[in-house]
Amino acid sequence: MIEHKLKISAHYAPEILERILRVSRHRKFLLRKIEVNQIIEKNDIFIKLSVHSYKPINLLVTQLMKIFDVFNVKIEN
Amino acid sequence: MNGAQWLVKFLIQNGVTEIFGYPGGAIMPFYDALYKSKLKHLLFRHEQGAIMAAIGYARASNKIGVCVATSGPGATNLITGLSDALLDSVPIIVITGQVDSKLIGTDSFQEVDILGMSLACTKYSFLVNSIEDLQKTVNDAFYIAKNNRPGPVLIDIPKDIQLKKICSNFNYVIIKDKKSLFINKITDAKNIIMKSKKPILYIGGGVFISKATKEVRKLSYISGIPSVCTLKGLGVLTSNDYYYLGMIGMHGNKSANLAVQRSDLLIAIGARFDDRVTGKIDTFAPNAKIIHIDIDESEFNKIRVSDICLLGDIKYLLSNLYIKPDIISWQNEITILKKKYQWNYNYIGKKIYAPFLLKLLSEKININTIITTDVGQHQMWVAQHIEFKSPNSIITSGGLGSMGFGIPAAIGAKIAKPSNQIICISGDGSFMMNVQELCTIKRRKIAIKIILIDNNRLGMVRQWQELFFCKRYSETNLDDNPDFITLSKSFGINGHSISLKEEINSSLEILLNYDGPYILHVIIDELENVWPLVPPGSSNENMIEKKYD
Repeated sequence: MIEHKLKISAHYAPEILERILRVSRHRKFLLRKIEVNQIIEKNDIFIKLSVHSYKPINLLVTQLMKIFDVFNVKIEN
Repeated sequence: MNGAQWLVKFLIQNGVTEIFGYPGGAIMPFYDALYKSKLKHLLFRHEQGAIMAAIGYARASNKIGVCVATSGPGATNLITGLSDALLDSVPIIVITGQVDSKLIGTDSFQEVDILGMSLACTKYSFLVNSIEDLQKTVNDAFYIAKNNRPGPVLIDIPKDIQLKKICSNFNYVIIKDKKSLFINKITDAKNIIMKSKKPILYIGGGVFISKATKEVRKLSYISGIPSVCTLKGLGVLTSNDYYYLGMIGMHGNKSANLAVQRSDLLIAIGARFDDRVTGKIDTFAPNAKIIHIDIDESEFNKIRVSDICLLGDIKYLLSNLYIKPDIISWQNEITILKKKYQWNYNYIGKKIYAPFLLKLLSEKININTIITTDVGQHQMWVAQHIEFKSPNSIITSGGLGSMGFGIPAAIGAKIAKPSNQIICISGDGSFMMNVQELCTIKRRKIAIKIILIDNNRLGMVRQWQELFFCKRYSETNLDDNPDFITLSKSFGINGHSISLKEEINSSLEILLNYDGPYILHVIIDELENVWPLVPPGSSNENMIEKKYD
């Protein structure tokens, strides 16, 4: 298993965390750590996500980018 | 004007002419706005029927299908349809009523968190939180459903918001795509194609969705590259394309599977390396390089690592790939394979052999006929033995494999294409799953034809029990089926039953020429299997074939 860190930028929606966590779980990336910051004046949200998996992290990145609210996913390591 | 009235007006202004649904408490303001409006509504007898009709409509017309239901059970009954549309990339909009905003979260009557439930089975979903959000939400929903890789979008609207007054001077901001679409690796792809000695075009459902049938046919013609297709790629190429080998996969043509296994280059076009296609993935096309062409980046390297990924609109990308590699010896090998593994329709005895019936049907129907299917043995026989002339002439539940899909999808297809012949081919298991929609056919006198292939069994499961579970036939006996013709006649649908070979020809003529809906009930041997078959977990070259007497 390899640990990966992602920085995700998204428009805020009440269920955005559920969407991100569901996709991560379903695509077999297990959650290790999560940090969430909402920028209220911009209605944006920034999420730092640590996941581990046997799969290449790009497979998760492309799935997360399909979420309508997500506008950027950056691999940190 | 209230929110519900605006929504009806929006649908009409955006070219929606007919919607499919079922009313209930939380969606009553919308149904009130619908009353005597220009927007037609077809009432189904179950929400699953309504959403599958919306899918059939969308797939027949390549336009957005719209479905409406109430909150709670109305909404939960849509889940299978949403999943079906997601897996088959079908653009539909699903509007659900929700309990009043102030009651959300109180476990009130017919309240469910459909937004939460929908996260896994929609491309996107919205809960409208205020009347001010309604217009942007609906606009976004239509954009998301149709653009890039299409899919289902759900809009959940609380009843109080449907009733609130709306300001209609809304200016919609066009959504910008997150990424540039085209990655220019065309030259690399061309080089690989020109060096290949054994290339294959592997054609999937994305070709029809991106309206690239003409481009694929041109590529096949100019390049002379042999081709195979998936269940959803049927009809893109036809027997007129000399090196086309038909469907690959678990119940594909043996020639198609062998060709792929021997290939040195697989050009996957709008296809996703589904497990029913590849068999054991480690042994799938073991010597082939992969060029993968798709609009959805997440499909790249998901199942099989590609050498070249071309991201973007297939229609555009293919028009840059019209080249002719030197592959004469490969073409000769393909020709030999194609001749060696043709279908055999010899069948001893008086009973009806479903593949023969379907082949005969295929010869009788015209080019505009649309076939819908349910799921099971009959579905695979349809894929094998009916020759489709265009990709929207088969509407089947490919990804999800939803039994009960055939009848409502046929209704939706007939609404989309009223002048086309629409035939639903079903099995006795599937037929009973949405049998209530015979009443929908009756209500509007919808002239679809149904061929019900009946073996008194859940045939595909029974086949697997025979082959892989030591003939332990657990819960697959359906010999308590109703009398299907009496049942159909109770819904005002005429029909007749046949069980002998000699009855096939005249019965198909009656079916095809009948003025109105008609059902042909075809009784077949309960032990008949679909051949050939790649056993689960096996490589595609290890197909089990029918033993002829």
